[in-house]
Amino acid sequence: MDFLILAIIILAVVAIFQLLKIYELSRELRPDEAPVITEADSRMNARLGIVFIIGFFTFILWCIYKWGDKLLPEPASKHGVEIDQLWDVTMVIIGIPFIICNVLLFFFLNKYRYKKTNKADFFAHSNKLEAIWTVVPAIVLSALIIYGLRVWNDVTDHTSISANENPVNIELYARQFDWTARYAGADKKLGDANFQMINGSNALGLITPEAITDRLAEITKDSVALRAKLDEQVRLEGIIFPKKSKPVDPHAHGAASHDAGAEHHTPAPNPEAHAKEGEHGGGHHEDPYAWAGNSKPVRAIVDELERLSRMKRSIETFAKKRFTSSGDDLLVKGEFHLPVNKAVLFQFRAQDVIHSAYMPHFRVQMNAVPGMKTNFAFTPTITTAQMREKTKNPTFDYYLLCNKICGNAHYNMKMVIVVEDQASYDNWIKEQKTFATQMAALLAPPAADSTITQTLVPATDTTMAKAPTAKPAK
Amino acid sequence: MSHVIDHGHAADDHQDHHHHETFFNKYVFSQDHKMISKQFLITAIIMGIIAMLMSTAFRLQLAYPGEKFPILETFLGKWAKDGVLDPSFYLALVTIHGTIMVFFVLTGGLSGTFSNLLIPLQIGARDMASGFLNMLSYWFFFVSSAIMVYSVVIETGPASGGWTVYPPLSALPQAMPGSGLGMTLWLVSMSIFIVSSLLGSLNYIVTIINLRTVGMKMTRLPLTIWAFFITAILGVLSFPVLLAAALLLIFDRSMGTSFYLSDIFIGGQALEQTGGSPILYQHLFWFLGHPEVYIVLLPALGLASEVIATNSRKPIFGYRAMIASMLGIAFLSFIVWGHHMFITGMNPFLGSVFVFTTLLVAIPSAVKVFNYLTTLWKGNLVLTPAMMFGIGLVSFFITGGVTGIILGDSALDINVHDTYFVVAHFHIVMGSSAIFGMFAGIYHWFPRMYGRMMNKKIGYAHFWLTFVGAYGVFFPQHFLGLAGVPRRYYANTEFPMFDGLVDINVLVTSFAILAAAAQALFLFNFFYSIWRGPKAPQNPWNSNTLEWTAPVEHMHGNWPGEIPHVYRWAYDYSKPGKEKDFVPQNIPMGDGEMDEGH
Repeated sequence: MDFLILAIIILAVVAIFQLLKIYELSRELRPDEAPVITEADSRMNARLGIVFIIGFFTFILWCIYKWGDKLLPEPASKHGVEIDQLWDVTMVIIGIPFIICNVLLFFFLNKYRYKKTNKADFFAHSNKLEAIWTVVPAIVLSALIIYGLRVWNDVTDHTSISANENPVNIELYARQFDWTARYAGADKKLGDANFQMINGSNALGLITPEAITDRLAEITKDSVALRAKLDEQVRLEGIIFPKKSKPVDPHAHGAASHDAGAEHHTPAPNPEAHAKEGEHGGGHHEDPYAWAGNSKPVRAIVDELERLSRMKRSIETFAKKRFTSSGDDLLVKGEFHLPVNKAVLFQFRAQDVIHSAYMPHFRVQMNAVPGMKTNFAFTPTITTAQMREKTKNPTFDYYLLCNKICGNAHYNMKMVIVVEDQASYDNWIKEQKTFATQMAALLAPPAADSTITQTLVPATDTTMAKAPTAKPAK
Repeated sequence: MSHVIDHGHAADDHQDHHHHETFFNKYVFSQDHKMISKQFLITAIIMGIIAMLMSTAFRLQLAYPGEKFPILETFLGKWAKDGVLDPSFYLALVTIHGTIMVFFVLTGGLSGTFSNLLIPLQIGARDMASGFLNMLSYWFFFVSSAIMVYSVVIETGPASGGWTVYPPLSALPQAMPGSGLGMTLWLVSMSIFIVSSLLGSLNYIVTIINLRTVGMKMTRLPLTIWAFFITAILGVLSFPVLLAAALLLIFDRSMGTSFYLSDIFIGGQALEQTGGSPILYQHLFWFLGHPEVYIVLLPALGLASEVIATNSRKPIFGYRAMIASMLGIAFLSFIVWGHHMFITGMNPFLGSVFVFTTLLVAIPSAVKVFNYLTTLWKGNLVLTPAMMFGIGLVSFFITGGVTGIILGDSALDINVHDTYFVVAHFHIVMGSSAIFGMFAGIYHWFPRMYGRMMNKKIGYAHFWLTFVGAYGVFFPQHFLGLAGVPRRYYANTEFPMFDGLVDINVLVTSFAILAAAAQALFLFNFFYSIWRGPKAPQNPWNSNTLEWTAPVEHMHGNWPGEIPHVYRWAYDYSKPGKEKDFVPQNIPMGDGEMDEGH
C-alpha cells in the first residue's frame, strides 16, 4: 500500500516533468516570450504562499494530533521535571517568533507583491527599529540563559548526591555491541579495572587478585605458545642465531613465576630482554633482531612476544599498587534494576569506541569514552509499573540506548531498565552474582553450573566487530 | 597565465590581443573566474545528485526496514543483497551523504561558484588576484571530489563513522569495515579539499581587499561580497585546524601514535596506544565544525540579501546592521564549538560558558530575520524564481533557527542530543537554507553565467515542490527526536518504544522522494537553458550591481573598455526623485543627492 503511494508520487512527478517538457518544446515554435516576471506570476506565487502557510500550520497541528501521544511520556526522574519545565518555557519563547515571522513573511509576500503601478517605499534604515530588535532578543535571551544555566547546574551537580544521599553506585560499561551494568558490591565501591586485564573470563577488565593471577598465567601461556611457533618458524626458514643470544626465560623479569616447565629448552634468542633494553634508551639505532633478516613471520612473532612482555610488566606494576578489588561487584546484562526515589550515581566506561548511554525517559545522556570515566547522577521517581498505568501500555519498558555511532549493530545496543520499589529491588539484587563467583564458574571445568555461564559475558564476542577489515580495492 | 593578468593593467589594448583560446585553456584549465565558477557549479551539482540519491536509498530503509527493493541491489550490488540495505552500508551512505553535502556541495560548491562568479564582477575587477591559484583551487576540489566518490565503490566500502568521523571508531580498522581503506581515502580527500578551500579563500580575501574599482568603498560593497569576504576569513582561520585534526588521525591510524587513543581493547586485543583522548579530536573537529556551519550559511544569506533587495525593489533594510550581524555571527562562531560536546563528560562549568556564547548567536540572527522582513515590508515584490527561493531561505532560517535555542541550552540538549531533533534542526537551518540560497543564486545569476534565461514556470514548479518537500521531510523529524529516536540507527525496529512511529518515517520518505524527483525539473531547466534558453537581456532583473554592466558574452577581463567607476551603494532601489526604480552603482550622483551607503 505504502509502496503504491510512493509509486504514484513518482509517476506524478514524472508526468509534470513530461508536461513541462512538451510545453517547453511547443514554446519553441512560438515567438520568444518576454522573460520578465509579470503581475500574474507574482500573484500566483503570492497566493500559493498563503496556501502554503495555512497548509504548513495545519500540517503542524495534524502532526501534533497524530503523534503527540507517541512522544516521550512525562519525565521519570527528579531532574527531568526541571528540564521539561525549562523545555516548555523555551517552546513558548521560540514558538512566538516562529509563528509571527513565518506568517509575516508570507503575508508581506501577498500584500506587497509586484504591481506595475506600485512603487516601493525607500526605507533604508531606522536606528530605532534596529535597536528594538537587538535589545528585545538580548533581554529575552539573557533571561533564558540564566534560567537554563540554573537548571544545568542543578542537573550536573552530583556532589550533594554523593555526599548526602548514599546513592546506588552503578557502572554502565559499553562495548561493541552490548551494555553491562556493574553494581558496587559489599564494599559499596566500584572496584578498579584496567583494559589490559580484559580476557575471556573478565570482559570488563576488572581487578581482583584472582583475576591478576589468571591474566598473568594466560599471558605466560600465550608467550610459551608463541615461542614454540617462533622455533618452528626459525627452523623452517633455516635462520641461524648468533651464539651470544641467551636462551629464553619467560619470567626473567617477572615477579610471579609459577610455570617453571617452559624454561631453558629452546635455542631462540630472548626478545623480551631486548624489549627491556629498548625501553631504557639503548638499542634504537641497532636492530636487535638483525638475525631475523627479512623474515616477516619471524618479526611478527617477535613483535608479539615483546608486546606480551610489556603488557605483563604493566599488569605486574599495577598489581603491586593498592587497588580496590572488584570481586564483590555484581555484573548484570540484559536488564538492570533501580530502586524508585533513590539517587543513583552512574559511572560510564567504554571498551573500544565511543558509545553514549541514553536513557530518554529519565532525560539522561552521557558519553562512554575509552580511557575516560564519565559520571551522571539522577533519582528515578516513577516505577515501571506506574509508568505502564500512566501510558496505558502494559508492555511499556524503560530503555538504555546507545546514542553515539559505534559500528554496524549500533542500532541494536540496549538494556531494559526496571524501576521498582525498594523491597523488590533488594530481592533482585540478592539474586545477582558477584564478579568473583562468575569468574570462578567460568574458569572451572566445563561441567560447571550452566546457569552461571549464561550470565557471563564472553569477552571475545566480536562477531559483529570482526566484519572484514580493509583490503585494497581491486 | 600572463595574458589573463595583463588585462588588469592593459585594459586599453584588450581588443588587440584577444587570446587564442584552445578547448583546454577555455574549458578545462581555465584561469577565468567565470569559467572556474561554472566548473565549481557543475561539479557541485553532480556531487549533489550523488548525495541526494544516497539519501533516498537510506530513507527507503528507514521507512520500510527489511523490505526488499530490488532496485537497490541493481545499483548497490553486494551492499544490498536481495534489495535490503546492509547495515554497514547504511552507515556508509549516511556518512558520505553528510560529507558530500556539507563540504562538497555547500562549502566548495556554494562558495566556489558564487565567490568566483561575483567577487570580480561585483567589485569591478578584471579577474581574481591570482587566476592561477584560482585554477588550482578548482582542480584540488575536483581531485578531492573524485577521491571521495571513488571511496564509495571500493571493496570494503567508504568511511562509515558519521560525517564527523570520531575516533576511535574511525581510527581502528577493527572497529568497522568502513574504517579501513575507505577512511584513509576520506582523510586524503578531505586534506586535498582543505587545500582547495584555503587557496580559494585567500584569493577571495586578497581580491576583495585589493582589486575594488574606483569608488567601491568597503561600505558600498553589495552584501554578497561582504558575506563571501567574512566566509573566506572564517575558512582561512578554521580549516587549518581540521587539517591538523585529520593529520593527527592519519598518524594514529598508520604510525602507531596515540593522540586520540587510550585504554582500548578491540578485536580481542588490548592496544598499546595509551595516553591520548578521543575528546581532543572532537575539540579540534568542532573548532572547524561550528564555523563551518556559517561558512555554509553566510554565502547563502549574502545571496539572499541581494536577491531579496533587488526583487523587493527596495534597499536592503539596515545595510550596516546586516554587515555587523554577519561579523557578530562570524566572531561568535569561533567560541561556541563546545555545544556539540555537552554530554562528552566535559566540565559542567565549561558547558555553561558554551551555553552563554551559543545563545548569543540568536541575537545577530534575529536582527537578520527582522531586517529581511522589513525589507519586504512596503516593497514591490517581483516574485522571480530566485526571489521565491530567497523567501524560502528566510522561512527555513526562522524555523530551523529557533530550535537552535533548544540545542544550545545544555540542560535541554541532554535529551535531544544526537536524536532526530538535531537532524531536523540542522537540515532545516543549514541544509535547506543554504541549498535554497544556492538555488536563489543560480536562478538569479544564470543569465550572467550563460547569457541565457532559465524557464520561470519550471522554476516555480521546482521551488514549490522542493519547498514543500523539504518541510515535509524535515519538520516531522522533530517529532521523532522528541520520541527519543537516535540518529544513525539502521532501523528503529529493535526498540518497542519506537513501534508507533513507523508512519512518520513513511511520510518523511515519501516527501524525500517527492523532493528528490523535483530536482529533475531543475536539472532539465538548467541544462536545457544553457543551450536553448532565450537570450538574456543586459540587466534582466533591473539590478544595481556592476556585474550587469558587463557584456553578456563570455570574455576575459569582464569589461571591454575601462572598468566602471562606482559612485553609490548597491541598494538605490525606488529612490525618491528618480525616474526608474533602480540606479546602478556606476551612475554618478545627481545634484544634492545623498549616498545612503556612505
